[in-house]
Amino acid sequence: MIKGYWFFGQNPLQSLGNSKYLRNVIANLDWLVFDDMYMTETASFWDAPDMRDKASEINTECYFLPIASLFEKNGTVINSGRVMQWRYQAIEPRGDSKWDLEAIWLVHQRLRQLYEEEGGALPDPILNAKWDYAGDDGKPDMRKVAWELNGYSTYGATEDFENGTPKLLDGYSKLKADGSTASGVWIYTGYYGNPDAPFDPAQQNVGRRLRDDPDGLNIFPKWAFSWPANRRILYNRASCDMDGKPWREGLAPVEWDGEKWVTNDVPDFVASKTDSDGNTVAVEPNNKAFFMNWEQNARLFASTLNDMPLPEHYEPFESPTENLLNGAGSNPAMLFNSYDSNKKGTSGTYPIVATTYSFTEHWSSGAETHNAPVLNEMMPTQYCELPTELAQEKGIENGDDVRIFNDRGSIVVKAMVTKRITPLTVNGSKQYTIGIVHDWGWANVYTHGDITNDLVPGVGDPNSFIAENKAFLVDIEKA
Amino acid sequence: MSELAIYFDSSLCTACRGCQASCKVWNELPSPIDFDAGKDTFAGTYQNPPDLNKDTRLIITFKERERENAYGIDWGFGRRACMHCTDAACVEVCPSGCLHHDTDGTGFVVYDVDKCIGCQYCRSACPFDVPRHRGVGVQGAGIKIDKCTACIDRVRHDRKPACVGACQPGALDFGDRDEMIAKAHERVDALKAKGFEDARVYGETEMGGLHVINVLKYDVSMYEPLPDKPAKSPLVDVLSKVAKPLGAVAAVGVVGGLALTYALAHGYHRDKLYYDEKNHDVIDTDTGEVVKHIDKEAGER
Repeated sequence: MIKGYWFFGQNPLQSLGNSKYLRNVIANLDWLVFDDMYMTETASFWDAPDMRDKASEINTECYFLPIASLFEKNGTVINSGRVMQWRYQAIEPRGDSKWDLEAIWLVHQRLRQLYEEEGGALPDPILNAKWDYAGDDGKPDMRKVAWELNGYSTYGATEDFENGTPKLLDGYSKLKADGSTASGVWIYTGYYGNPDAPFDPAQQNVGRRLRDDPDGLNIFPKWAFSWPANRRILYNRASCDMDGKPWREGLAPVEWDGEKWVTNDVPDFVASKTDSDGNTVAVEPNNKAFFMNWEQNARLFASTLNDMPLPEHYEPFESPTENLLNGAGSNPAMLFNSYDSNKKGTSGTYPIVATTYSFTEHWSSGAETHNAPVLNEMMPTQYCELPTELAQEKGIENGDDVRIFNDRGSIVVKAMVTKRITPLTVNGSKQYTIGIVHDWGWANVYTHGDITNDLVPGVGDPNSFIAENKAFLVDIEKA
Repeated sequence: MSELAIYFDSSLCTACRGCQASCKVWNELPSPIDFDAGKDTFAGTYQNPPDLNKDTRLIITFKERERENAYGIDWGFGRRACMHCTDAACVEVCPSGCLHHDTDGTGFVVYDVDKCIGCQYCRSACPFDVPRHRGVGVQGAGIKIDKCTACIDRVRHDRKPACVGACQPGALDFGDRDEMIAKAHERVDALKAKGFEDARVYGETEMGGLHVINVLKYDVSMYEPLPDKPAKSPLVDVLSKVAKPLGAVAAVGVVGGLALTYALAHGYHRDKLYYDEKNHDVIDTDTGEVVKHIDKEAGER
């Protein structure tokens, strides 16, 4: 039984599919904590246009914790290209806002105190949690958290954390399964692994800013750190043929020179080994390019996926056509597709395929970017791109208000009539597609719009749990 | 300083409009903060605001058309801002000496806003319809010009204009005008070799030579409202030879008229104040009363 929910800097009641359903069911919780810089659609879910009038009937107790922005705290930032950089605090947090970590820290301390004084269910994880990250000022010290993530030798670690003398490890190969080492995230090991300067991020891999670029490959191996093991390009063995010769001369992160591997990047394969005399010797080129697999080869037939051993095409949850390739329809292992809340529509009722996307000026749910007036000026309102032919059929002019709807929801946005989206011919018939931007909601102080994700089903991929937000059925009319 | 130019390659532009935002930020030009500002005038295009305005010196224009003999569309992205003409009609007609070519010889058309009398001849004269004006006032006296200055404040300190610094795909560049022209020709040749027959350099000879060198990927109609052959309006001669002197007289006349109006206004009294430099006091000349003490030590001015 889930009683409460703590949101950290996310806005799922705006960004998840089937939002209207979600914001209505979330009102059944006993308590909610919102930890954010802005009062988002999630943090003010009761203020949705369809819930405002009955807000007094909601019994959920809500807390809003104002949180410091990225310029008001230090720590590690990681991009989707796996590069981790240390970022320093520029200014003090405004007002009473705090770092996320400090918010958790204070709640943990209080919880622990209550458990000590009054006891409670399952006390062990609370009372025995390792939580020795306090800095000199009594607040959490991000550098100590970095030690924890990086990994260290556990011998004398309690004193080490107190005295600032952690025995940090410089790579994940140093981690052992016998309890002699610890690491919060093994793939990060080495990012903060210099034991000589545990309090100086600038002397750690994550804080370095060297611009060396061997052979001009734009790899920059000494700029910060890339997990795992500072590998900048994964599967880099595949940049060469079977004999270790680059597929394209001058653009190879690794290359076999006849005697050894020349490396501009950390090899993502077994490039050397220790022989029986204890010497390090080069491993000659072979067909083993994927060493995280036990057989070190690429797989065409995979046993690890929940829905298939081979790649297969499936139609989305809602589709205007049957699956012409294999007759299977949508993915049989799809998550949550049997839930009534998804209110599956058919192309008979909702003949138009819709997709959603963002655009340059606004990011995600728009909580931050809608607070920059210059960005609002460059794209002042929520819109839907639709084909010229469809607009003519429905009597819609450029800039008109249009209503887009299905059984899950109904939104009103501005029309952007364009030739960029052309009708397709699917299974012999003409098929219209429209594209709706999803960066608006009711909570912003400068602009407002409907929640595009009200229209989207709440189903997902059975392996990655990634939501299927980008293809569903709707109808459209002039508002 | 040699002649400089901003370079714009429409074929590399992705229309991210980082230049547009960067221009406003550097030049401290405000954006509307009214609730849902711009929603009602939204015309179903990415081109926002729809045109230059009193607080917007640069926009990217959007124009699309279906291809005649191939699948898909052409999408033209144009850079709409002051072109910094050599034969600048605005400079020619400006009656007050407000608009002028930068005195360092860069070729950029800049202005001394204190000299602007709000006549707006420059906008009428501009073949690109660029200059905009802000403010209201008696007889136009409070109206002031606003347009691109090629960030002359940055250029004088060896920095690129703000728009150029913001460009990620490398569509914008900045440097010696001759170099920019050479670069543009090289690019146009490459585009033509790829089959873009209408590609051209825009700015080498137009209006005596612009200080914005454009590489146009498509024909000029894809960059509306850019004129194919910009020309000085016949009105310019009239304005500069006849109206300009008149305008100057009118400007004096406006000031004189205002003074007269003030003097005649019944009951109007302006306090005559005197600043005592020794004691940092502002003193009313008539009564001798200290109206305000300026605390220099506390940083007051």
